[in-house]
Amino acid sequence: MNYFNFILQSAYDDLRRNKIRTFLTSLGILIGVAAVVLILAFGLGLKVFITSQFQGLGTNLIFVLPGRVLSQGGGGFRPGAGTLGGIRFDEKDVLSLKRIEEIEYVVPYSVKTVQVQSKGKSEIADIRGTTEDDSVINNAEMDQGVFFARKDVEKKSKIAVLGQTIAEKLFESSELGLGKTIRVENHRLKVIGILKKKGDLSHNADSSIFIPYTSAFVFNQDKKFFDIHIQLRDYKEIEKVKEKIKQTLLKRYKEDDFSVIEQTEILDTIGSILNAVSLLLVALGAISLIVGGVGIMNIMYVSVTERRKEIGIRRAVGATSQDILWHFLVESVLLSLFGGLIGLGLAFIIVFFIQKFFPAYIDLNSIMLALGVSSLIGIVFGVFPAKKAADLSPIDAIRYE
Amino acid sequence: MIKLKNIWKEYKIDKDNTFTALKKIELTIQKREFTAIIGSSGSGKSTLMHIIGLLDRPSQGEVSIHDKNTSSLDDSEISKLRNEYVGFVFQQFHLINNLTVFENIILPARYSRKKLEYDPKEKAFELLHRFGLTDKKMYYPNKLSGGEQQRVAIARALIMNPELLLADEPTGNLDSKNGEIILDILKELNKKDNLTVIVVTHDKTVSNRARRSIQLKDGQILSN
Ligand SMILES: Nc1ncnc2c1ncn2[C@@H]1O[C@H](COP(=O)(O)OP(=O)(O)OP(=O)(O)O)[C@@H](O)[C@H]1O
Ligand SMILES: [Mg+2]
Repeated sequence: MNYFNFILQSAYDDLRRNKIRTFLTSLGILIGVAAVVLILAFGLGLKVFITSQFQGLGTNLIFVLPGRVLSQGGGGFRPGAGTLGGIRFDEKDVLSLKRIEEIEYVVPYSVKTVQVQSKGKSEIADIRGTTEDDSVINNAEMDQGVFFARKDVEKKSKIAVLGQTIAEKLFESSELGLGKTIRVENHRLKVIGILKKKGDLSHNADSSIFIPYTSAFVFNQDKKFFDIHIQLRDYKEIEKVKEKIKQTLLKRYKEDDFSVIEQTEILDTIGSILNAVSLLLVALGAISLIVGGVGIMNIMYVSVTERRKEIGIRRAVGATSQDILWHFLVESVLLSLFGGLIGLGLAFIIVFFIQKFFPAYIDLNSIMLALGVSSLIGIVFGVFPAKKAADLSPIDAIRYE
Repeated sequence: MIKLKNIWKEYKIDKDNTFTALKKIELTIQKREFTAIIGSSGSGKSTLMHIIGLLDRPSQGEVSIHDKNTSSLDDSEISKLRNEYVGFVFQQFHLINNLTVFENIILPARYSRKKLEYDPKEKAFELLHRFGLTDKKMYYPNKLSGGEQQRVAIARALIMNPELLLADEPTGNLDSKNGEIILDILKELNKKDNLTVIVVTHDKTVSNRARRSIQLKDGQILSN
């Protein structure tokens, strides 16, 4: 056994002998590392999210949503709050909004989550009833086929345009889907187009099915829309137009029944909330790391005192004070690294489950950072106790009972 | 081979007082000698042993080994000498309780930086066999009898093939039968293995058996 293995083995044996103490001591580092890695994971996810938002959506968009999405006075964004309970818009709203002259496109959406069947396959997807203008304001790019046209909306054509993901799920590969028929609640729809992958997370376009809203009325018999997207001729007029939209809708609805927001507003608020949350987590992580480090230092001091006699014995048989320093330093680094590894594992598990709802990624940098930081803490907080052990006089140490 | 020149050891008791544990010690120990150190409790026997064994440094004076003065050596050089040159046996055995018998015996070799010309594992097995400890090699020390523990300690002291064996009241915690066994081992190590042995003892029979005995009183050598 070479020297390095010997020191490592000794440290490992000591940690293993005190399993509960080892675990509890490493808890601070565990939580700290998990928190930091999660922040980084969310940060990365957020970047992807925002990028995809700007790529996937057209610019100059205003969203009209049911319920209060943004709290009064430009405060925080409450995701999903009130959006389910509120009102539903209808064709009359679309028509009256179209009369505002600064507006170029008014695109309504009905949404229904349904079971979709193709030959032998059955999947859950969102059916979005909309107009041909959806492809314009969202810069839709076709992978195959075409988007539906105005006449399809007028004729209530039984046709569908599939998002890339749902197309892949329903057919062996998305190329096989074009021209095929899918079944939704006993209605047959012919696939006339398949969209390119967007990665658009907010609207879930990749796993949605787009059909003319007129045809969608068979699924929404109340003939209502969930939300309306609006594109302006000139972005500079956005504040004025938002006000006009509000006034128009206030003729029919109460102020709390709907929200008129900008795309960037959503992104900004999401961004600022996530920043605040990140800051909180960073603080929590940093505090936890420091507390964890102090915990390690404390336990290492206790350990040095407890093992004084052992240190003396080791010195008597020829250990140098340097050897003793290594014993304790390696032990504290191992302890801290152990916490770091478990924390990293925990972060991986959390990210794995959270990825279903929100994009989050742990990259190599985060892993290296986690392991680097935990080693560093082991060194920084371990070096004082280790120094104390190394500086013990052999004779005083061996006399200690 | 070991020469102590004008050795003093003082302990600071408080701000103004020091206690002098060793005074003006002059001592030469030849290779392959078997020496007993006797004296009443507190006379400085252990202190002297620790200084001879390079576990402690004198406040004043010189310890030379093979005519080499050790006072200028730094910690790692002293530790290396202690590791290779000296084997210690203590009254309280001083084994590490969370290491097995085998790991205790081989411990000095773990700290050795020099390339040994023998395999320390084989040497450890040899010593286990020699002291009748082969079936105890995976035991932890606190499961062993006092006599067995002291034999483990002797095996540990021998793993590096030292020239000098220092035993500080090695029989002090043993019954007379086990004490006898340990003393026989020390004798044998001196005779057959040509080790230089120094034993601290209260026991008159031991000192009588020794070829040379040094008597300490109040930190001074009374008779030599
Ligand atoms: N660290 C210390 N600080 C102060 N005094 C000390 C210290 N170590 C030893 N002494 C004193 O030095 C004297 C010699 O101690 P030592 O242990 O050498 O005695 P000893 O001859 O081995 O006694 P015993 O036979 O009881 O083991 C004692 O009076 C002891 O109190
Ligand atoms: Mg003593």
